[in-house]
Amino acid sequence: MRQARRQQRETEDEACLFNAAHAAAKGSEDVDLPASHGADRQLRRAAIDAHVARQVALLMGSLLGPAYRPGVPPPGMSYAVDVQPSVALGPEAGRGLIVRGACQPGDVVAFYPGTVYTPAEVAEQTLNTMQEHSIHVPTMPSFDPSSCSEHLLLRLTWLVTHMGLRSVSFMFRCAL
Amino acid sequence: MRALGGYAGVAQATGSPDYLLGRAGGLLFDGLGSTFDSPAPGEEGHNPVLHEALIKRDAQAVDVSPSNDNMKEGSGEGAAMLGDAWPLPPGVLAGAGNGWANGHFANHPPRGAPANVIGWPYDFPPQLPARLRHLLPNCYAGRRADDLDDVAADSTNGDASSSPQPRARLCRHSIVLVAATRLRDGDECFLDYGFEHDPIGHTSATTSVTSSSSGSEESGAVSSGDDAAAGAPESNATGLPAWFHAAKMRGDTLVTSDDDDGEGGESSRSAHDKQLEVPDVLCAKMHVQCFVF
Repeated sequence: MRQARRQQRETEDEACLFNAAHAAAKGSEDVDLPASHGADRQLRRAAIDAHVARQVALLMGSLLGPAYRPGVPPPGMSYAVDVQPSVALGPEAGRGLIVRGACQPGDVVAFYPGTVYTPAEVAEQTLNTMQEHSIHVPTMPSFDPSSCSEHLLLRLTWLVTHMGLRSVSFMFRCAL
Repeated sequence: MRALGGYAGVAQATGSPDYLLGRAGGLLFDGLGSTFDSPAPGEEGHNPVLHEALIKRDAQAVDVSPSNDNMKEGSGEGAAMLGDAWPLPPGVLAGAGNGWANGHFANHPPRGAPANVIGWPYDFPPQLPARLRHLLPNCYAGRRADDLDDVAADSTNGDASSSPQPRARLCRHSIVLVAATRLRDGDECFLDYGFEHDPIGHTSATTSVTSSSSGSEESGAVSSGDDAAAGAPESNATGLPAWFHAAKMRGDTLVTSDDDDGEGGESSRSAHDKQLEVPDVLCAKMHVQCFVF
């Protein structure tokens, strides 16, 4: 059920962005979407990627101008984002990302910054933590981060959140 | 997007399990940029807890040199990525000059409200002009031990004790937040953290963000969790680090039966929420927030 819900949301996200990309390219509103599988899906994603790339180019270009100020829409753009106390969640939520100006669906509003860990680093550090805390790690001859990528992370999560309740071996047997 | 709940080793290494995002293929993004310095004592924004955590993280810097067996056994992409990555200019923090690199401040939507931004993977082109490279928002955590920063020995800062450090490399792989709806002045950006796959939390806050849909959102019961640096519990009864405790507490607070899989209706949800004393608003920064796009 949960996986089906996630897949549905991924499809909805993709449809939303494709609509935005299509609207931006054609100047029209929502259009009928092609099927979400096979080549059609590849085309949809390619269209989204192209649209996002154009948006990113706008954002990066805006940073080169001498007049750029955070929270103030740069010349040629209708929006900016600012970091301010969360207005919708209240003071307990801390700060939030606030839009200044107005933006349309499909507009890139921010980059997600920070440090990037590769799958191998994630696996290595997670396993180190398991050993540090004396969590039994059985022999895993078939352990290959490159072959499980996304699922590997989820399985390791399964261990963390169920520690004491599930064994590592169960974690890797867990069908996703 | 996929809720992954937590990445044990990385969360500990970074000192804060907050701000973690993942991308398809397994790349993991730490929004705090913990590889780099935090404001020093006496400087604006200094947080002693975070500072200590980052020092700890630096002490555990990952060696991704070709001789590192872990990198060989993995996909091999770590070393390959670093090989063609651009070095980060000395003294510059990744994304520091990029005013749009603040997506980690996007909160999870409050109960009943849909998300209004979507995370989407984006790779900067290899031919990105040099004048833009220093604006890339991300850098790799891994550093090669033999790839030293030759500027570290400069005497301009008067720090005679400084020694060459492995240089950081900018990362072309990124995540952007894209508006899913029209956003007006003053609107707050909400990113669905995607808890539907949380193995224990069942913190589904799935929101439909298609332009034509409405009301398909499900409000999950989500515990509050401020920034770990702002006061996470020191330890728990098991002796595990604080973030373990946080995750456990979160599970205790949020766990629901599997048959209440988002279809239970408002009445049962409300009763359950009341029993668990779940706050009406979802807190901004969960103890763990991880996705794979």
